[in-house]
Amino acid sequence: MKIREVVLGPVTPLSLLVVVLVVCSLTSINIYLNPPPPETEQEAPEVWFYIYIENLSWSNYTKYDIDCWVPAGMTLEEFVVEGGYNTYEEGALHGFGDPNVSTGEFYLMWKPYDSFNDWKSALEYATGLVGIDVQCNETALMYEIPSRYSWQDHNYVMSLLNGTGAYSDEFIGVFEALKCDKTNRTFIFLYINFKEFKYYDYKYNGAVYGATYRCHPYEGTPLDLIIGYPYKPD
Amino acid sequence: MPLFITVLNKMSSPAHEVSRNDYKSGRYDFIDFTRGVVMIVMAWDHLAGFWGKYKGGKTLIDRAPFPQVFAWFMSRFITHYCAPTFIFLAGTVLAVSTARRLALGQTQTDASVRILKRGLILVFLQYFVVNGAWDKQGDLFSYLFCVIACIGACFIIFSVARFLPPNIILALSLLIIMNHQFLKLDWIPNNVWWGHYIRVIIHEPNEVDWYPFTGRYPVIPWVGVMGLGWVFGLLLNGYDSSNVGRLVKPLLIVGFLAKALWFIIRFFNGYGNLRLRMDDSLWEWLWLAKYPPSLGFLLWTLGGTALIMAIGLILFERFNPSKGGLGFITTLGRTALFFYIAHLWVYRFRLPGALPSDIKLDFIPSVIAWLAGLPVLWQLCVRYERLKGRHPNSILQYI
Repeated sequence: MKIREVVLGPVTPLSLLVVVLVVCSLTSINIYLNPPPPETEQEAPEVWFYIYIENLSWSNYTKYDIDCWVPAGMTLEEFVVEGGYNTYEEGALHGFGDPNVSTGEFYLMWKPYDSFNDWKSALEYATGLVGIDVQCNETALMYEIPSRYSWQDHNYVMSLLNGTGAYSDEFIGVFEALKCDKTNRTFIFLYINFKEFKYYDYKYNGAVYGATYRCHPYEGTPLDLIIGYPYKPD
Repeated sequence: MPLFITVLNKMSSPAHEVSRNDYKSGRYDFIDFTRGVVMIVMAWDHLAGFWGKYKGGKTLIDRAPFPQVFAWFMSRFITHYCAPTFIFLAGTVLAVSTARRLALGQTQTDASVRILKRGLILVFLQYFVVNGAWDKQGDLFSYLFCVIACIGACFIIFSVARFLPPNIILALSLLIIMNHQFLKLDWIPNNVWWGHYIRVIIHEPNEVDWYPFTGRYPVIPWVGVMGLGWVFGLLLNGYDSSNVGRLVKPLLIVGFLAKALWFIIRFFNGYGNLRLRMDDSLWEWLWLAKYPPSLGFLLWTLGGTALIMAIGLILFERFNPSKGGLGFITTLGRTALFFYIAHLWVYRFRLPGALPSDIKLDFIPSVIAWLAGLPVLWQLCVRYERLKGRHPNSILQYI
């Protein structure tokens, strides 16, 4: 078999100019047809919370990136997760248990990136409670998270909070994606399911659950799709 | 410009019209120098990935004490040059070597089959040799679609695409690089492993979902980067050791122009940025999306590639490329693929299938470990080069 070389004409300065013009024109059309999402237009920090408490199904999450970590000092095999799978191989998604069979409440929220100075005020605003006791600062535990589950070029900060009042004796894990691509939002995932939480002793509490949402550069606003309805506090 | 046009036209013509003189050596020292430089930097990146205490994303870097925090950040940032340079020059060398083989009488069919074979071998190497080194869970084989497989896939594409005229390849490459951020693959199902894996390979790198069907280097937009390299290779074919120095000025112009365009794109903080700049700190300016690479990322890094090549040309006008430090670097560049495979296993420093150690090194010990590994790798590369020279027709010709 003989392959015939295709020659569509000589390269000239004019043809190179055409190449540049065509590429730039098509790119301009693409930019026009694909405006940036409104979230990037940093308006006043109006705070919207999306709260979903019951009957959350993990199947809704399969299209999004969810990372998971194993508590310090534990292996994956030791990381027993209530009602679900516990191995990374079976999907990080399943590392957090099945909320449909657990007894805890799930709070799923997002807020504009710079809306709150800290999680204490964010949670107080969200729950309507005051005096929530923040036990650890935002980066207190990151060092202990095995690096094998951290991604290059993605930025997560994990926080741990110990609730008081209505949430006393319960554990709240807060995972914050500080800097999101495109959306410029902060995502929070709360898991409230533990008794006698001691922030310094994971094993005592059995396990740490939590999830964080990577702000996928192409998905844009994943939580909007998941939750479906907004709850805007008056 | 006139020379550029002449050369491109020359390459658009039937291969037999190309003079054998142009390809007498088949190697350009400044290309080997550039590849060698990024190989050395890449070795640092991977050593730090295997053993570094704070390597692994900004969150970990933030944990480092001052001033290490800056050192860790910059030590990751400079390694961004590696993959774009590696892939760009893969296209360049492919164009140069293909033209040389055609000039020596190889048929178009044989040339395409050879490129196809190389592509398939690279994909094989990724899955069966490279991924074992990356593994963190004791697996010797995985489906991680990373840089070697990406280059292999691009080679497969170029076994056919090379028949397109240079200006078409240039246009398509630029179109891909400048527009890939608008690509939507929603029509490919993501709730089945094969659909997810196809999306990963095409354009949506992902290391978590549907494990083990993961990947970091999607074919789009990297095939565009290789296309630019291919066109540069065609241009290069018109030069030999007596006049290749004339490329210094164009390379410097292109390099600085790319950096200037990067600044503009980063300044406006919209199009071309897959990761937006959150404030005006240096880190935010330099924190670019690599997976997949944004236009800003490619402008910065490929601009750097052009500058490194210019530096190589300047150096080789004054110094012997085969002696001293330059000889060290060009040796690594000549055996780039072998170096890539070898350095992973050397710096991994544990047997195949063995799980990662809990030992993590601070910055200075990491640097020492990196430097200690380089002479070892150089020795391996020298010996490999000799072995390859003794068996020019073996499978080693593809590596």
